[in-house]
Amino acid sequence: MDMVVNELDGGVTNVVLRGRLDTNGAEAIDLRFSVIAGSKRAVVVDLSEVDFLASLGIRVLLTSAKAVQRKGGKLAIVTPEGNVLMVLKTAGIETLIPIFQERDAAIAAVGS
Amino acid sequence: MPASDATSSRERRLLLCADLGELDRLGAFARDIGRDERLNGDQIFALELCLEEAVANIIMHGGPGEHAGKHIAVTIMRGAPSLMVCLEDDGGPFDPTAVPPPKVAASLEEARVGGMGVHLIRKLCTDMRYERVAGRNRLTLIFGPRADRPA
Repeated sequence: MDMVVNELDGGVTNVVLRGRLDTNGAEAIDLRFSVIAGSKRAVVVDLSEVDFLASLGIRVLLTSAKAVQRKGGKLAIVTPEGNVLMVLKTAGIETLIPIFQERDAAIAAVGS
Repeated sequence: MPASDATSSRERRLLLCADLGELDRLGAFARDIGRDERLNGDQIFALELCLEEAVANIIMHGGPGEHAGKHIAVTIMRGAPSLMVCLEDDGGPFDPTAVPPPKVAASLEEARVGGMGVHLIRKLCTDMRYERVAGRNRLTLIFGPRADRPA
């Protein structure tokens, strides 16, 4: 599981995950992800290159989204594909964390 | 007893230590079987995810201390048109079928974190059964044709 973080214009933090966000993948990024969620107010999580998602990965996303929201910020998920999107929907995440199919829309939504 | 068709029923088995580091081997096993059985990509994903969630639960709920299980046996049986997975472990009693469905949260603030693994298994397999047999947990998952698979 790879995690690349870069700062975009407008104070938006872009987190790109690559690989398998499975049980072990989630453990591998958990600490770094919590640090971002604890310190940033506008976060876009790019899941387009994530090809597997398990419940522990959902836990990391949900915990982080809650932490960002507690500070009055916003976290959005962008472009999850196929079965990763299916898992997010099955877990009821799309009603809790906004999921965008276009990057610009996600950036605009968290950056306001 | 009627003669059975040997080619329509196959069985494959994987023995795992009760350690999260074993999940990579489990995933490779599921994908390998999926390819051999000519399952499509969505079916392989569902099989792999259910196995990962079920085994991770066994490892995380089987301990700690004297109740910790040491081994998990995964047996996959092909009996067209369905696939049956049997997971047996020597940990303390843990019945995932008794785990209540997650509460639907009205907002992110109210959302409870966790408990999603069993929910995903329920949604992605056709049937899930649990028995406690001779001091072991036995969880059976059936993957069969069904009309209400989530899109």
